[in-house]
Amino acid sequence: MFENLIGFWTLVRRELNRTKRVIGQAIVAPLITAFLYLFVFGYVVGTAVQSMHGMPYMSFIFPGVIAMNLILTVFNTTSFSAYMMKFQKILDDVLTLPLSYTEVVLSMLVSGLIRGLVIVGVLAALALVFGVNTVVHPWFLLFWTMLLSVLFGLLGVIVGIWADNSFEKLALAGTFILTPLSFIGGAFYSASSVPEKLQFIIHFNPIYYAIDGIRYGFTGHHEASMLTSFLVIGALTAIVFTISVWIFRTGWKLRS
Amino acid sequence: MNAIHISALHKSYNTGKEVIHGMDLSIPTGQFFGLLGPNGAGKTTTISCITGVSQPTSGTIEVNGHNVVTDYREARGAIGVSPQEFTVDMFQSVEEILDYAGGFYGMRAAARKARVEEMLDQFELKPHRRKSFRFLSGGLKRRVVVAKALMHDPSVIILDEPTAGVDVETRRELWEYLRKLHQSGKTIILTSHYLEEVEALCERVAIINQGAIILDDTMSNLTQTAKLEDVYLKAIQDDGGTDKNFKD
Repeated sequence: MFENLIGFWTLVRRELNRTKRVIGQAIVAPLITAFLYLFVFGYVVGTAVQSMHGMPYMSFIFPGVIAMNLILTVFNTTSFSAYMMKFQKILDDVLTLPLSYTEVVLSMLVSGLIRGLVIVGVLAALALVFGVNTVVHPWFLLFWTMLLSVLFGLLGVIVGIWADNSFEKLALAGTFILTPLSFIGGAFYSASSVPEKLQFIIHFNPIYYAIDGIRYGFTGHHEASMLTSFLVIGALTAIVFTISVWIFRTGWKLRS
Repeated sequence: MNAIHISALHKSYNTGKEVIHGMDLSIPTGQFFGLLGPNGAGKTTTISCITGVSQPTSGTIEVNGHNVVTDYREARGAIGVSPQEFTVDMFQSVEEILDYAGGFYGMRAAARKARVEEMLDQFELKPHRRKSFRFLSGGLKRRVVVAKALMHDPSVIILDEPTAGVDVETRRELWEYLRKLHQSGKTIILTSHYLEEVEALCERVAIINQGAIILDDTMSNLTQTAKLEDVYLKAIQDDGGTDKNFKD
């Protein structure tokens, strides 16, 4: 697979270098957002909530806040990066390189993964400020963070390429699909607190499983079956990876 | 052996309009080849098909015997391309652009470092090495893009309008460098609207119009009785003029 390992790693380096240039968008923005969520919902409003599944409300929501920020930040940085690369015709340059299409996609995947780990690390440190310091299943948390970073990083690449030269289309997926799905995905509440008739909506939302996995990693608590969560997120990751490779192989929206 | 071998190349865009009509072209290894034609004739499309930016609708293209679709890794590894448009990250420094370009082609760090210095020296870019690409003048940008194309020491060099926006002194220096590269055995494909440049450098010229090659001969044959510019204008006129609706 890696016939040109140096070329592959150079693409990863270039992607990470681009992230360094937008450090505000990649790291500072999620940090501020998470701080506000934790302060308002966890610290201020949370004092009125007795507990959730036997744990303080702050402990319940902070994994949700981390998962939400991880998903949105990884998605936004990769979609914007792919969009700008296409806009500046840098993707044309990528198409002329002696790299396989799988290597190109994997380089985006690895850079998305590194971004994701940094975001979770920074936000977990923020949680300490609010007195939350539990990581019950660290290895699972690491694995789940990597899986989500790959899934939403590659989804961002697909959306960035699909958006052509339209900022409107770029904003569409993030603002009108991913953000609402994150909010109704159980970041701030338990699915069991939703009327039974409406619970199926939550169970059809893949972000619910993403958040539930992060919560399991931090607190040991989960609502959905972990096998179901793994199958949903694993299958979606396999699908977006296949679509990404297909895009670069066929040149959909890339080659004229 | 042929550095480039194009056989029955057809290229249509998504609109369905065919812009290359069954092109056949062979460029022997070591030849300095000029591809001329009016705007929209199909020069850049042909180059895009060779380099991988576009895919041929039908027909085959080989670079050093490697098919550009099925054996793309080897084919692309042999090519260094300086495109007409600047396809680089505007926010990167000159040094970064060159370093990444070497890395993409598998050059190790030490070899890249040495080559970057060589390229900075050759193209007089040392004073600008840490400047962001977006702050460079048009001429300097063009030099960076040509240096980037040569970073991995390719055997086939494709230069699409390499001297557009470049001052006369730099243009002449680039000519000298290209001559040296040619003498060292490199195959060079040049497209340019400066016909005196093509006349001064190329051994052979093909003129493309409306997606087909209408003239292909050695420079000495073409310029025996007239200047290249006159030969060019006559060839286009005899072919019925240009089609301004064509996409380049």
